Amino acid sequence: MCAVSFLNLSVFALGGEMKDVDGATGKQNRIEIKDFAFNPKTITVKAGEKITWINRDEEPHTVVSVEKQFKKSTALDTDQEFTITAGTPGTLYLLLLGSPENDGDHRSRKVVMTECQPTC
Amino acid sequence: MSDYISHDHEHDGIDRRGFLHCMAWAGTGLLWTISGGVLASKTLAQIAKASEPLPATDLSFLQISDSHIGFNKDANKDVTQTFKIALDRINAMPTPPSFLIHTGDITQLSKLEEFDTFDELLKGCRTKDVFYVPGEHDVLNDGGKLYRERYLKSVEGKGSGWYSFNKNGVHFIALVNVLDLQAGGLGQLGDDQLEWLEADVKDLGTSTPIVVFAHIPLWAVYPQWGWGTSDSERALGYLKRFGSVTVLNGHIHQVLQKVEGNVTFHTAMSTAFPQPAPGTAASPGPMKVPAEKLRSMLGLTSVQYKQGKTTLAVVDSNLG
Repeated sequence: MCAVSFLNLSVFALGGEMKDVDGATGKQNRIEIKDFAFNPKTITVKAGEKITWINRDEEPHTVVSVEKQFKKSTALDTDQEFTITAGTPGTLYLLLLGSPENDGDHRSRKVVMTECQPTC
Repeated sequence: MSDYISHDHEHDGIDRRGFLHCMAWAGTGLLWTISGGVLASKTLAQIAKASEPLPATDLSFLQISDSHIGFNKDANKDVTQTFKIALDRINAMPTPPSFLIHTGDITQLSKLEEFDTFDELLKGCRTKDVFYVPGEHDVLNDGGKLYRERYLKSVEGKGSGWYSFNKNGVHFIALVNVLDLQAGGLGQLGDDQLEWLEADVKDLGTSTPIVVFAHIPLWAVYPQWGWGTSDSERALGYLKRFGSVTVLNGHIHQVLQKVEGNVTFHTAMSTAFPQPAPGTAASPGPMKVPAEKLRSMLGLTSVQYKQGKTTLAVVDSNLG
């Protein structure tokens, strides 16, 4: 039994090329996968920041963008991490397949990417 | 011919014949447990005639499933050892099975070394013929390329690896439903495979016994956990006209059975770790049980077919 995590990335404000801001803020945006669910369900980050998923289940999980907006992760073993850099402002909707929490309301599980601030 | 037990005085689903049959199995040196449910009772009633010795078996094969080589978490820190015990049980059978079927999740993470370990262990099995279908754990990261290179050598795999073959008048169909997992985690067969299936069975007589095996259950066991296959109804539609269809699955690491018309559905235990009964835990992840209880929740499934009988006998045994 293995679940695949899907992200539905809906970009609503294309802002041109993203500035490379690796390490500029040092902020940790972490989403744990535990009991086949994301925790937190909602996270707000600035465009350009990194988002890291860490699998705390004994089952491997794969993070996938439904609209294939980034290359899917490899199957994450227990305590393994996967990091992407948040793109242009928009919302990443999260869906965890095979999960008891999977009630179809994926809009309750999301990464909200806000405008990049001048400092970033 | 009755499909049901004739005397159920104790209302426990076991009659005298069934009990004697069960004891006969125990006497072979294996601890056979008959799990509750319609199929087990049916099996016992049909093959255990008190006045007859155990029936000569025209074909017997074993299902092993979900070995998860590479898994090393609390639910079972030594899946290699429990897999070896399963092989020991097979080697100890007085009548060796004609062949094995492995219903997927050979490995935990589709790693080369995990497949290598599995293959090395399997060399210790007296029964050499093994037919495979992949689990989703076997096709991680490479879409099943490595799996197909290794485990389809003796068959003509089509598409993502489905195939069929005949043994002793029984038609076996190996289906792949672990690629392109659907919303909710449900398995999927896909149009190509379904079209192939329709053509594959088209010219078979309705009295041909059919055995279908695939990793994820081909019935809606518990869709909330992804325990089902989104387009299985279409597949079963092509098999409706047959008098005997036996569907063998893995994936959920526990024995569940259902009979629907002429179709018998059956899921097997894992040799690695148990999973919770549908809906009884926060998630379907590996279930931790006390160490002394673990082996009683792992096991094998034996299937026997006697020519002239319509129903195949499906019997589960644990590793306890």
